Amino acid sequence: MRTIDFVAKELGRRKAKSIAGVLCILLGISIFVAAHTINKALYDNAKEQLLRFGANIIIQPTGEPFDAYSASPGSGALLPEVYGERLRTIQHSGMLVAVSPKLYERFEVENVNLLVAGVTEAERVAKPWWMINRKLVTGEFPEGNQILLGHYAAAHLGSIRQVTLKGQTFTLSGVLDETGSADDLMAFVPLHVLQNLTDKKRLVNIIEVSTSCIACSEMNIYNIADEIDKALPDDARVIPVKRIAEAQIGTLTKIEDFIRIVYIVVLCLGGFLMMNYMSLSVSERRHEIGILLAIGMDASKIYRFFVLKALTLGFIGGLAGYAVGTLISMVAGPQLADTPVSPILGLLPYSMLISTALCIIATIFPARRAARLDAVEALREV
Amino acid sequence: MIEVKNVTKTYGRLEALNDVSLEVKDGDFISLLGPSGSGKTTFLNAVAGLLTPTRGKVVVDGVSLYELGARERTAFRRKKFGFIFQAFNLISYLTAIENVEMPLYLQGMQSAKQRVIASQLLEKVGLKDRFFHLPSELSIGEQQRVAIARALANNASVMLADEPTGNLDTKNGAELMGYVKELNEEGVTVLLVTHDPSVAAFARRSIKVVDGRIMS
Repeated sequence: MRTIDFVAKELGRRKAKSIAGVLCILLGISIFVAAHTINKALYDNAKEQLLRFGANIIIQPTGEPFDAYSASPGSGALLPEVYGERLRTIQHSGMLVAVSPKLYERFEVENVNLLVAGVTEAERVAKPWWMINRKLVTGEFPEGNQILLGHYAAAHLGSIRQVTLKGQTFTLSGVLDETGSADDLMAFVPLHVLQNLTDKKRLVNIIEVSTSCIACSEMNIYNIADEIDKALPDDARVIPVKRIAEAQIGTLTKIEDFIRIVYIVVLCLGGFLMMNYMSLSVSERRHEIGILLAIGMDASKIYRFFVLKALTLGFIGGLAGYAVGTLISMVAGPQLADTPVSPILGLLPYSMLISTALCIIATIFPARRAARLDAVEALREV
Repeated sequence: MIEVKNVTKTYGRLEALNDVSLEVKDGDFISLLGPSGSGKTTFLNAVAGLLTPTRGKVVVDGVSLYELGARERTAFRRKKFGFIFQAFNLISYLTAIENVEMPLYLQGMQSAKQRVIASQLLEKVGLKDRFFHLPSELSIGEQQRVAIARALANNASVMLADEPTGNLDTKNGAELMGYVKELNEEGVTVLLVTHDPSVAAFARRSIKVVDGRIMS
């Protein structure tokens, strides 16, 4: 027999009590895992939804704000397109989802004053809600001499297949479903084609930036805007879109704060239950501890026995808590978060670590009490 | 040799032991006979190093038990003493053989060696076919025999028995005392506490304890 055998035999042969011990810690860990998993799904979902407000940082030439709708830059200044590429050098460039440089120009087409935007592939990434016939825009995104029309722009132009801009013919690649934004009134062509057509080579009106980490604890879009500002010359002005940013940060921070409170409460609850369980375990076994002390078990060995028992319960509780928590999140998550929930395998080591740490902390005092028991007193108890 | 020198144990105003002295030579078999509450179990616990006397000292083979630190005293007890309790005090979730292995495990012996010695001891007390039974699956007499095998496991030179027949019927009681006598004949010193004169009669020397004092 070894200490671990002694612990294993106690846990294995007193099944009901062992299950009660595992349940104490499983409860806390499973709620922690379920809350974290659902929170991540909620967060990701909220982030995706919030990104639909549009870009959250805009870079434009220094001077009066650019009015995209009238396409008349107040100062007439333009930005070099290459500024967009410089954004890749900022410290948190990994958080940039899309950097979309844009050039706007108005054209008369079939007696319709049409606002045309020159865009790159990044525009499609920045606007995942763009649909054609309720399907994501893929092959219809304009290339070469193709033009993509907004919903109402197409309606104004009637059933045409081609559009001529400054003598250059563009073939219709598709008509966007209604978006409820200014995009509905516009047309889109490849950026470099529009630059050549308007003789504004490598120049843009604005660069729109979408970031993935809107309200991360260590970074929000204000910080990223600062980094971008430092990376660009003085002729570029970096503006975090305040209304969007504050809505995004506010919503996500509230979710995070709430979940953090949930974590603390459930983990404290788990620790408290475990401490009660261990205290009860020591109280119930006073007589047995008395026997062990009488036949020569060291107090330190009794202490080690309880800590090892806690470790074992913590290990099993962490593993089972992860499994149960993941199961709960998969079943309840889609209803709560209104989004599919995926298991987070990376949570498993954290569950085990938190579970064993909680069990050990919760066991220190009961185990110390057990080790300090008076053998004679304990032996008198039946 | 065990020397109990002027041991007094008080609990508040109550004197459980009152200036008790006794010498037990190696290989001796002494019974302490007395009614309930006379102080005989307190005396046994003091000899075992489990109960620090208010005054006096207990010396075993030249070692003054209560001058040792708690850890050293536990180690000394582990090596020197075997215990037989009235209520058998087997660990309920360990099988017969695991209960007997317990003192060997506490000595730090390897698992395989523990198993060999525990098997031999259980065979010696006639429990060859009960190795893997839990205490609840054994009769009272069998449980007491497991307790004897456990007390013998650490090869103790002193056996301390506290009312060992208290929970047994006449037949099992006599059988148990037969084992104890056999042990003593093999050279083990036995110190036995009982309120039953017929059990005390197994000893070479019987001492009466009344109100915390040794009377004869």
